[in-house]
Order: sequence, then structure tokens, then C-alpha cells
Amino acid sequence: MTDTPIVPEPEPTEHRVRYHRDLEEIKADIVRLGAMCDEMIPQGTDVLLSGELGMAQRLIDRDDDVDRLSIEIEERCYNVMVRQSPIAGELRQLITITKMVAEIERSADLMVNVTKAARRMYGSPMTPQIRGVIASMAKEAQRLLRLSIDAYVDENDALAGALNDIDDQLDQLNRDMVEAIFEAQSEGHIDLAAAVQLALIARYYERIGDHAVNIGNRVIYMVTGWLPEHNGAIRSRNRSAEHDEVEPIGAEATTTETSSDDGGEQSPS
Amino acid sequence: MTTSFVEELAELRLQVELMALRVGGALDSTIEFLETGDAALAAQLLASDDEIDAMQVSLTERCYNLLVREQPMASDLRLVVSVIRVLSSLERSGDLCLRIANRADDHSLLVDHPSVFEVILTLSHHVRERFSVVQTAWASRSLDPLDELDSAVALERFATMLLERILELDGPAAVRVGLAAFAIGRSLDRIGDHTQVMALRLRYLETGDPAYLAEEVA
Repeated sequence: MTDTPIVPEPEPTEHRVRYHRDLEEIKADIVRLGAMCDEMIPQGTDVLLSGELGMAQRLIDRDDDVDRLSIEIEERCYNVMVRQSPIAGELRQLITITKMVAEIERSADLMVNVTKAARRMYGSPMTPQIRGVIASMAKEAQRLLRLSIDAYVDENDALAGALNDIDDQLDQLNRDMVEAIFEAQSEGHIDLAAAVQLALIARYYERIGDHAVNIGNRVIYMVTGWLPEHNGAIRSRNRSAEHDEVEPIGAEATTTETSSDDGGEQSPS
Repeated sequence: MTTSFVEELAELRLQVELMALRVGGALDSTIEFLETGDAALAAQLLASDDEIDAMQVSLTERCYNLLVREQPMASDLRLVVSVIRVLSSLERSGDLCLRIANRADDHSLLVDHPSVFEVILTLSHHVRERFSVVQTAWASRSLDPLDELDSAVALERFATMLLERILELDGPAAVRVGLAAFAIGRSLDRIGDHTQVMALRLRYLETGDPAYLAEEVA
């Protein structure tokens, strides 16, 4: 046992207390933003499937609230970065939030698009098969968004990394939807204008899934410091290094990296 | 404000221009791939996308370092924050080019359906033109070139036309052609969206008017 005197930890300064309070408020607000968008998915889907257009305007107004809060959160993040000079994990938290804001905000916009498409195709019948696929896509899109927010709250990089695979289900539903639209149109159940709107609607739900996967990638960055773009950066560096080296005669060319089939937005898992 | 900080901001702007040049080159290769179906271009696009990713990683880190270290205010803060947003749009545009090239297996099938394929080609050229306009505006720090965007034909018109043509397809290959064309059209449309974001960011950067930020999220 040593005789080192116990030095009490210094009291946090008012500056630090305010910083942590700001950080906590921003974190709470990004979750609130996620919850607002989460609610818009079943609401917009109800407008589409029930034809009750009364709710459409409320949803569009709600998106204005999402836009306002998005800009506010992003500004607050940059203010905290500039005023408090955060480092390491706390800086990554703030960077992640600025990126998440854009993904959530775009998802809310997509639900507004669903609602507007519902208005455009008002009165057009939908086959039971199409209605079923839409309901499933909405459910899956909401599940993905919710899981991505859960991954953020729990700082769960394993869940965040799994979102890309979970999203396969939504991609498959999109393919089912396209087939169902072709079938319904060829059998004369829906006209071309309605078919176009339905194809767009399927795309909107699919993109909400893509945004959730992107949020997952940001969560992985927050927890580990890894970004999907790092893979490309490493490949690029390796290629430059290979160029600089003299290849020995008879050496076999080998490739250890493969491209992700969605253009580099995949997680490492 | 230190001289080195001023130099760093100027360097940052220059690097954004270089990255935009790379993405412009990727867009050119994508159009060439669509026109010729040359699979070798797909491999080139992968290498080019890796370079774009590397630039994005390094420049974004540099931006955050500047924010934390230099604590910029007013127009300098707007510049750094806008660059972060633009870098992200450029990187995503590169990804989307690659996504189109990944459809190499479906290329000949698409060529066999000219009613759909022609709209894809037209859309790709319009997207490229819009990107060039924004690229010029960023390089010259001038909003004047952006006026061309307002008078340009809306990309949405072509996206809708593409969907209509897709849904007019019939026969056993209809679904496969439709899915491939839909995916390519969607990627082009999204590059168009990113171009619009870059234009709005430049307007915000040069005028300081937050209405452009609101427009970006609208």
C-alpha cells in the first residue's frame, strides 16, 4: 500500500456542466425526431390504404415540424462543436447526430410523398395482393427505422451492422410489389397512372429502409470509428501502394477486396 | 483569424472542386457504360469510387478538425458546414454511379427494349448537365450559373416517363427489365437530388439565407 494522498476529483466547471446538458438534450431530440418519423409511417400508410384524405394535411404539417427540428438539431450540434471543441467519442456522437438528422428527415419526406401519391390516386382501386404488400412494406420500413434508433440509443454496433441484412426483406417486398403491379395492370385491375404511383410508393418505402441502413452505418462509426467509406479508402491506398512497388516476375495477381453490390453502403459485418 | 486558417479554407474549397471533378468523371464513365455496355468501365468505376471515398474520408476529417480547432464563425462556419454536406452528396453520387455499373448483366436486355432504354439515356444526360452547372457554380463561387437549373427541364418528368414506359412492357422479360430500368432510373434521379442539394448549399453559403436550408429539407 502506498502513501499517495487521495486527491479529490475537481468539481466540473459550469462550462462542462452546460456542455453535457447540451449534449444530453441533443441526444434526446434526435430520438424524438426518430419517434416523430416513426409515427408518420403508419399514419401515411393509413391515408393510402383507407383513402381517408383528412389525415393527409396533418401529416404534411407534421413534416414541417420534423424539418424545423432537423435544422435546429444540426445547428446545435455545430454550435457545440465550435464552442466546446469535443474530442474522440463525444465528437463522433455529434458527427453521427448531424448525419442521422438528414437520414430521418428524408424518411419523413418520403412518407409525405406516400401521402401525396395517395391523393393523386384517390379513387383508384387496389388489388388485395397490392394492399397486402404495401401493408408489409410499411411495417418493415417502420421496424427498420425503429431498430436503427434502438441501435443508436443502445450504442449497439452489432444490431446496427445487421440492418443491411434485415433490409433484404424490404428489398424483396419491393420486387414483389413490382410483380404485383405488372400483374394487376395486365389483367386490367389498375390503369397506367395508378400503376406509376404504386411503383413510386414502393420505392419510397424501400428508401426508408436504405436510410435506416445508413443510420446503422453511422451508429457503427459512433461506436467504433469505422465508416463504410473507409473500405474504399483502404482499397484506394492499397492500389496506390501496388503502383509504387515493382511487381516481381511471375507473381500472380490476387485480389482480396470485393465490391459491395450496393455501391459501397454496406456495413463490415 | 490566422493566415494558415485562411489558407486551409481556400485549400478545402479547392479539394471540393477536385472531388467534384472525380465525381463528374464517374458520371461520364457511367453514361459511357450505359451507351456501350462496356463491362471494363464497371471495374474502372469501382476504382474511381474508392478514390472518391478516400477523398471524402480525408476531407470530412479535415472539416471536423477545423471546426473543433479553429472555432470558425459566421461565413467561415457556413463554409465548413456546407462543405461537409456537399462532400456527403458527392460521395453518394459516386456510390450511385457504381450502383448503375453493377447492372452490367442486364445491359443487353435493356438495349433490347428501346422504349425504356432511350429514356434512361436521356435522363442520364440531363443529370450530367445539371451536375456540370453546379460544378461550375462551385468552382466560380457564383450563383449565376445556377439560374440555368431553374429553367432546365425537371428531372421528375423523365423519371415519370420512364416509369410509364416500364409499365407498358410485356412478355416474360418484363419484370426483369422493369426492375433493372427502375433501379437505374432511381439512381440517376437521386444523383439529380444530390445535385440540387449542392446547389442549395452554395446559395446558402454565398447568401447566408437560412431559407435555402429550409428548402433543402422541404
